[in-house]
Amino acid sequence: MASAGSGDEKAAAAAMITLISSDNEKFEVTEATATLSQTIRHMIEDGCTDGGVPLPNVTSKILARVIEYCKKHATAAAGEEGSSSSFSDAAFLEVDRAFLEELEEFDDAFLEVDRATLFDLILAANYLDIKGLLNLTCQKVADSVKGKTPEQIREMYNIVNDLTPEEEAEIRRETQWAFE
Amino acid sequence: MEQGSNPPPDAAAAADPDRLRPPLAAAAPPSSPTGGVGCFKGSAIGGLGLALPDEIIAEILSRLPAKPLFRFKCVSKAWFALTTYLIKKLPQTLQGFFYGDNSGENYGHFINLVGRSMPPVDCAFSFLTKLPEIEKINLLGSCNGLVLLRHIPYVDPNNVKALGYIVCNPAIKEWVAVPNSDWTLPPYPEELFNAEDVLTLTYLFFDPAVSSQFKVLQFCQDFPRNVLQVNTYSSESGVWSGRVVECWTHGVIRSYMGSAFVNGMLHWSINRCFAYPRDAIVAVDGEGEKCRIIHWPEEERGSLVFLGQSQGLMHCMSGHMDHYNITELSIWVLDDYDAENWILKHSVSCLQLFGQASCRVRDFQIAIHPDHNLVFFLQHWNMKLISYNLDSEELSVLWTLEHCSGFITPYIPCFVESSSLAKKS
Repeated sequence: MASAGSGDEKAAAAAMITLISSDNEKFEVTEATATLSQTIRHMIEDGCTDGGVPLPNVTSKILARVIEYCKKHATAAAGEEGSSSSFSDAAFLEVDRAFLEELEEFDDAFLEVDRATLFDLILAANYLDIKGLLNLTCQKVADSVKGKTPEQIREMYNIVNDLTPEEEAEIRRETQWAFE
Repeated sequence: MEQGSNPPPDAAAAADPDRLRPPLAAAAPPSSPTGGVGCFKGSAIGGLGLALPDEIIAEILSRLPAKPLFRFKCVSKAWFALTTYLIKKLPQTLQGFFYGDNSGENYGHFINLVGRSMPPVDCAFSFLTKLPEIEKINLLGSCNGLVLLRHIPYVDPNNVKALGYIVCNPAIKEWVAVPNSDWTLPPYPEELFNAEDVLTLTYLFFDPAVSSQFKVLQFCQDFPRNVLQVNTYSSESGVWSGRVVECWTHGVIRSYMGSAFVNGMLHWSINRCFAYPRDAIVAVDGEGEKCRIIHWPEEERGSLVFLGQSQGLMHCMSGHMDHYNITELSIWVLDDYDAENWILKHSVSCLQLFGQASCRVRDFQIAIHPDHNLVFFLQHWNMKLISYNLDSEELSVLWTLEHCSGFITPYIPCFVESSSLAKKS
């Protein structure tokens, strides 16, 4: 990958953006990393990132994780561009494959967080409009509820069942197959 | 970063507030006038109970397949509304085939291709047959989730005037009665068994992507099977309108070869008596108007034996003949409808498919998967339903249909309520 680096890449790396969390912590990131967020990309395009980008909805703890994700995936995006334009031989495809596997492993490890953190990551991904991260985190929650019973869902998320016993019995009768 | 003459951040944000709007806000389901969905939309941390905005919960649950969605209906009222909404959005695909046994009905059994991932199909239409006003029914066909049934009263089954139709959605158990058209059968030889089925071809015309209303098309033929009249019933107006047609196709509609709903029109294979080549495809719109004849050069492509729709395109199957027997089947795709550009997708020998060198057209019924490169053959000699994958060339025996009447009807479930089907059983 390193051989694919060029003068342009170094120039992009030089453009740094400062992100400011709700608890006023400053994070300096490359533009390539920051623009994985559509929200920040629009701010950069509008030229309103001087003096840092305040993100009042994101805590430093969550912002650090989001930046970790963006850094990894920004490198992946740069790597893909580099390899496809300069090389196309089997050796490079092999490298790409290995890199994609590594990215998958990274994503799996990244999602090993408690439920509250996962929800905060979803909220941050939604606010910052980071499609890949939103996809990843929403799918994680979907996978975690897929095999659950209604009782387990209520318990997991403290949901009050406001259906009358008659209503619930009728719904259960009609959806009996889904419990088998 | 160069700043130049760009406006300060606050001004830019104020000028275009949409830019900072979270992406999911736009993806939230619309509120429904019946109140179901409306109760969970809008609030920041709403009735669904998770510490997430309801739009995001909708986004998460929209990733679930049918089974957990149906199961989560009884979590709470808000979950009921959301899951009911999401179930309607589930992609529709072929669930299986209706068939009947030798009791005389052509329904009552179902070949389920998707296992337990979808709700079971009420293949006996018990939600209809339990009703006192409904007596004997006969399955005529299905179209995008709706099923067309012929209603045959016991009292006087020969009284053609008394018969009517039923259009139903078995997935949500809704139905509506369609009256008879004013068509009466022309004279026909006494030995003609099931004269009405042979001489009156009735089809459902329904596309939920375009309209929640359906149409019923009826092709009325005389005994040598010339189409004399085309009747159209519209669920919107609730009436039939008839049109006398002259030399409609110059040919006989071969309904047993299937039909294809493509480009908002229904297509059938026809056999033209006085034209060459004899094989052609006729396209009919929702008004029963003949729109087009698509030519089929059988010399080049072989005789038409089937047509259907898959992946939005018309697919035809043709047989390469050795005298009157088929030795090889070819699958063609109508790649460009307007230019009538056909592409040969696949060819396979009868030997590979059926283990015998040749067979006749009437030896099997063909169906095609609406979403995959998969074709189905019901082999009439042993009543086995086989599937053949056009990509992998893999052949699978799916089912042996005990005492099957020899005819299967494909079924794609649709969970969207239609204003045209008012009655709920």
